[in-house]
Amino acid sequence: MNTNDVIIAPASSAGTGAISVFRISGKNLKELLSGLLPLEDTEPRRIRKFLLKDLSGRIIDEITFIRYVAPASYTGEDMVEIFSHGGTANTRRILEFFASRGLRIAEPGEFTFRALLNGKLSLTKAESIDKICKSENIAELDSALEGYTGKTDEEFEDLYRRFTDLYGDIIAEAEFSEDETDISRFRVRIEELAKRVEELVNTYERLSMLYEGADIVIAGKTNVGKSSLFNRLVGEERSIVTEIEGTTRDVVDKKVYFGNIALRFADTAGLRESGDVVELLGQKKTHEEIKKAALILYMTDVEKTLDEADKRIISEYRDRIILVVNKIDLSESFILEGYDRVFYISAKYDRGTEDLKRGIRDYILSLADLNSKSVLFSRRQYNLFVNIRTALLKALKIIDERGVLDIIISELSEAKRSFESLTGNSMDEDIYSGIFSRFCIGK
Amino acid sequence: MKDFDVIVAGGGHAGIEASLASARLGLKTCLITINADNIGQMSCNPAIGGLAKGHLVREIDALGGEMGKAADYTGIQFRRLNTSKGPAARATRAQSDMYRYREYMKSVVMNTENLLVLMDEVTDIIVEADTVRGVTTKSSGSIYSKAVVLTNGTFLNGIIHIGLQHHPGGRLGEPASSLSENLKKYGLTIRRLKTGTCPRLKKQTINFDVLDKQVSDEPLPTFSFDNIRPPLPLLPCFVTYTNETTHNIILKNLDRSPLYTGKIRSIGPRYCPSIEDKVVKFSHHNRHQIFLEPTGLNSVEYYPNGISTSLPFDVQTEIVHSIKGLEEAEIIRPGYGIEYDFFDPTELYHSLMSKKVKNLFLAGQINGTSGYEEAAAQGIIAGINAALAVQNKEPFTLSRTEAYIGILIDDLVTKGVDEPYRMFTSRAEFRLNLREDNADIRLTPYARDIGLIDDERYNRFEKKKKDIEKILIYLQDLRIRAGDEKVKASVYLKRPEVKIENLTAFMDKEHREILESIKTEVETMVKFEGYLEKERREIERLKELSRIRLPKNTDFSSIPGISREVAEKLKKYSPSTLEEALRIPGITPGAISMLIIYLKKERDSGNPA
Repeated sequence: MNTNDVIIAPASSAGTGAISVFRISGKNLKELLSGLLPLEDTEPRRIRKFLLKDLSGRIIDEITFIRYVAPASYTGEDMVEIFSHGGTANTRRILEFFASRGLRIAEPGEFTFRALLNGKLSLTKAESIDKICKSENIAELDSALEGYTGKTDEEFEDLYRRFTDLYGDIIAEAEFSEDETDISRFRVRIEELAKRVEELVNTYERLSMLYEGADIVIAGKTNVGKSSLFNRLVGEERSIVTEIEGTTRDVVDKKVYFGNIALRFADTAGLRESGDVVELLGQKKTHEEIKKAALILYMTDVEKTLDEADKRIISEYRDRIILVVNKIDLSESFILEGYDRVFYISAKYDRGTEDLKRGIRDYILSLADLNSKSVLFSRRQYNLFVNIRTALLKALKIIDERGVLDIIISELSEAKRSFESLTGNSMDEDIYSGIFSRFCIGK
Repeated sequence: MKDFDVIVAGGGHAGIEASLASARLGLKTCLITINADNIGQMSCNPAIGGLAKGHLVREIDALGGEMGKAADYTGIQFRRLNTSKGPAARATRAQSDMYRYREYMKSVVMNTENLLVLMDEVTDIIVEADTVRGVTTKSSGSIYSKAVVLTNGTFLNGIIHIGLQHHPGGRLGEPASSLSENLKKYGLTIRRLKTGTCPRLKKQTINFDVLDKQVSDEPLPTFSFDNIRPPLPLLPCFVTYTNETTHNIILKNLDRSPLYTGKIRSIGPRYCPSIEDKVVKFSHHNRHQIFLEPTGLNSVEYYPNGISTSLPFDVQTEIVHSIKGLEEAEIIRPGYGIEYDFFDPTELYHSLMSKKVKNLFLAGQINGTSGYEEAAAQGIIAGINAALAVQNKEPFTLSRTEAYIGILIDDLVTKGVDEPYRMFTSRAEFRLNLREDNADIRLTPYARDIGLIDDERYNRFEKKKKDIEKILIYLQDLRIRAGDEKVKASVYLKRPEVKIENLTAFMDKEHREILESIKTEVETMVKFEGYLEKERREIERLKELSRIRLPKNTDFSSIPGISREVAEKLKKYSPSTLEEALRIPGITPGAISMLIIYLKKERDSGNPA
């Protein structure tokens, strides 16, 4: 295992706590984080407030952080602890931001492992390491996904075999052939493999909604009862409900569990033409939320007809919209014609909301595509597959730039290492037995 | 007979390097061989080097070994393989005049100070208090020494198969040795392997006119850092193919094949199958390539590389006659299969010293490898370490990240072998940094420290290093006009289509002259700078864990938190560092953590770790 790079992991548990804590550790931490965090002029072991921004200067989150200087830290290396706002989406975004800047997401138990390496842990503390390692696995995810991933092994094995064969063929080309090589003949296979890996990564991203929380946005005209529905769905008074139009000016969100899947509901400012600057900002946000949502609960009520603006949104997002007609207590006979997924409720009297909840759950489960064969169980595995994808794409690029075989091997061996990290076993024997069964190697 | 510091048993490629290294380090060394005329005999094909093997030869040369020089002096065809595939795959191969090769090696060995050659057979080793004290021989009685290196090749209980006939033998016409039986009592585990060789054909009966010719590459690629200009005239190789008729002959006669009738049970190398195996396992191929290799300038024997076989003599004749150009060819020596004993190499330390008997070293084919180069590579390491052991010095080992020799030995002692082991570049984790062209840069400093590199050579080495530095800096400064823009030469060279030769026109005379002898090195270092750097960073990381040593005889089952399964694996592979432990299949970072705890505990309680 690599002990020389900079690693990051959330130290707080996954979920919707108020604060998320991240640990970052590594020798070249200062270098890697320069431009991201002002470590140079931060006194060690003092809390500092800071606006975390991405490279384009956009604010990611307001955080506080503490800098530790080796050897006075948990791992004995230079470390930073970051305290950000909580919430799965935010936690994930911060983690992914740092990962994109070259930090590696730590393997389970890796901070403790480094602490041990550097002699930072007492024996009694350390003896529970084995358990720590195991419990740091994302058990929540495993159990959540357990029932849905029956075909895992088959799919993984197929992928593993395809890669092993490809790698073997390329190795054989370098190793056993004295003829000149046309590396572009491997292009199609690498591309196909990259596509498969891409699908897996996407599938994971879809499935991960189930435990990290699928984003569901409640949207619609003002005063159709969005906040009432929101409160019904999340089971508490989070949004302020009034008779005045446009009360919800910002996005209010909340993560809840429907059975074993997690959903993150967002109540949004109502959509309307308005001169109020604050409200316009809120509406802009609403549109952003709608764009990235897994599902939109688009609300109307029995007293309104759908206008052009409504219809535009409904048709633009029609494959991920559930239409919710509220206030059926006012008119039992209202029917919305011409739409597939329509639920009739009374948020106020809690009628029809259970059906709606089932509808939401079914929709999200169908999105997660439970029949698709996900081979990924954890964010660690996901990251390894992202590495594999990167390596394959780089190999394609090298072929297109007419690079040499050895460099392709160098890139693919990165993918090989990720595969080995996934299985915990060396791939070599599989590669060679493949080569020797496919090629008649003589001289 | 007087006492020696080091005794080497066996005069093959491993034995030569072992005895030379030991003697050159000033130790009184005795090389015992069954036939002093056969020192450096090429039992199989007459070639040195090739893919991954050329890398080994360059490394042996950088360590002060003899193989590269012998190949340069006695080569009659030289080729540079894989030139377009990249810096890691490039490899040098030479066809040698095998008789002159033998003569050269014999002469070097016989003329080396401190080295006595004795023609005899070692029948047992003398062990006192788990330490080797010498050997007993068939004719010269007991001979005492402080260390013994066994390099007996395929001679241990060798059985030669030609058809359903078989007889004991180490090579065709040479007796087998029963030494291995006697070594069992010291706890060494014996297993068996199989290999084979091709029939040899009479030159005058081959119709070369109808065959494709393969000549040397120009300029002649050579092995040694000594810049030896190959002195011998060159000969081409020829290419021919088997055909459907050949294959039918083989299939028709499988009931007379020792391989297919169960006579030979041992496992042979998958990468070097017999022609029987090729035809059976690859029935969809309608032909297999054969290289006709000259065995020497004055020799009338040709080696048809590609039809290794243990079929009966009459079938071999029929096979040969079915092949284009060989219709009239006469067989001088039949091909044969050979089964032989080898010792389980996981019972060795990385120094190649036995874990069972102190100061007993094993090298070459008796450790389960195949190939002259693999044997010689182990030989030089065993010879160096035997000398160091006698002098009570720390052993010399190479890691996987710095040499193919390191990979070879690490694979042997940590993973063991199931088939004859051969080097491939793909066995290397960091193959771009392990190139033929930088073997000298990687290993010369070690050999200098050990004492195998003289001043003259070391000065040349230092100069080469400085020259490379100088050119690299020069290329950083040099600006070239590429189209409309001016770019640094070092940047320009990174473009896939640009070669170092494209730059020479822009260089001044002084630098152009310096560059001449280091073109490959400089081109590779500039062109692949980013990739090389990436590998080097990874290598640095691994070094960290390799610094943490695990004491010998650790009782893994007593370590809390280590599962029985993991403990068994650790026991089986007995890693000497944490880095090695981590590479054992199925060993998790968690288990490594437990090992660290254990090591700390041991150290804290005063037990030296």
